[in-house]
Amino acid sequence: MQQAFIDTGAVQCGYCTPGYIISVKALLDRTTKPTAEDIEEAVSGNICRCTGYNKIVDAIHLAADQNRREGLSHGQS
Amino acid sequence: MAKAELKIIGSSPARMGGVERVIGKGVYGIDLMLKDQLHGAILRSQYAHAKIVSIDTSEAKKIPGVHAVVTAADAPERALRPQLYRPPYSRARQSSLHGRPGRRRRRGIAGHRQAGAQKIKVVYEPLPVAHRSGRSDQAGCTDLARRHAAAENYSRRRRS
Repeated sequence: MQQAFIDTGAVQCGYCTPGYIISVKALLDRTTKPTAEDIEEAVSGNICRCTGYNKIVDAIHLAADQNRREGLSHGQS
Repeated sequence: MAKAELKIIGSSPARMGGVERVIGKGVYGIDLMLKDQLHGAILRSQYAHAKIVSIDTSEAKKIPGVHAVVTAADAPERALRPQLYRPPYSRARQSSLHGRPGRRRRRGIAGHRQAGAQKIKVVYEPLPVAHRSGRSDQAGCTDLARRHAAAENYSRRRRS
């Protein structure tokens, strides 16, 4: 998930990033395939003044996709 | 210059410092501790839109270790600028946005600075609140809408 933030450009100054990481971890523990609404709700308590949020949403989708792929490759659903 | 000599231009370098930031190891100004440094705390408005009726800093100034309590009254030449783009200290009489710095104080001991800021007594007169931009004129916030427009004009002038 943290690599996904780096790879999508969701990290700029980075001040808000640890908070996002924790919120997204909680989200992805709850659901493996979050909708756009799930994501918006999950990070509604986090403020980022650099990115404009789009990159962060991209990072969350990427992290969820990667988690699902890893889960499948390990025989989990 | 031959194209082969360009090593940076045209490449797509990896994000530098990304790992530190995503694992919470980033170092920011607030992390720096120098000998005898002063610490500041900002007392923010508890209202989204309110008139500041009065400010009493006397109790805060009495706390040992407090070096200064700074309000708009200390910088009257700055306090009348539109505050959306370059917040001055505090508006002399109004705070318009929730979380806008109302006042600032400094003290020698970091752990106690916020407690000291709470000693500043501010009396507010709450005013109607615009929850979304563009609706400020509908919520009885004509004053807020006017100042938003003024700030935009101010910003445009600065850019041109």
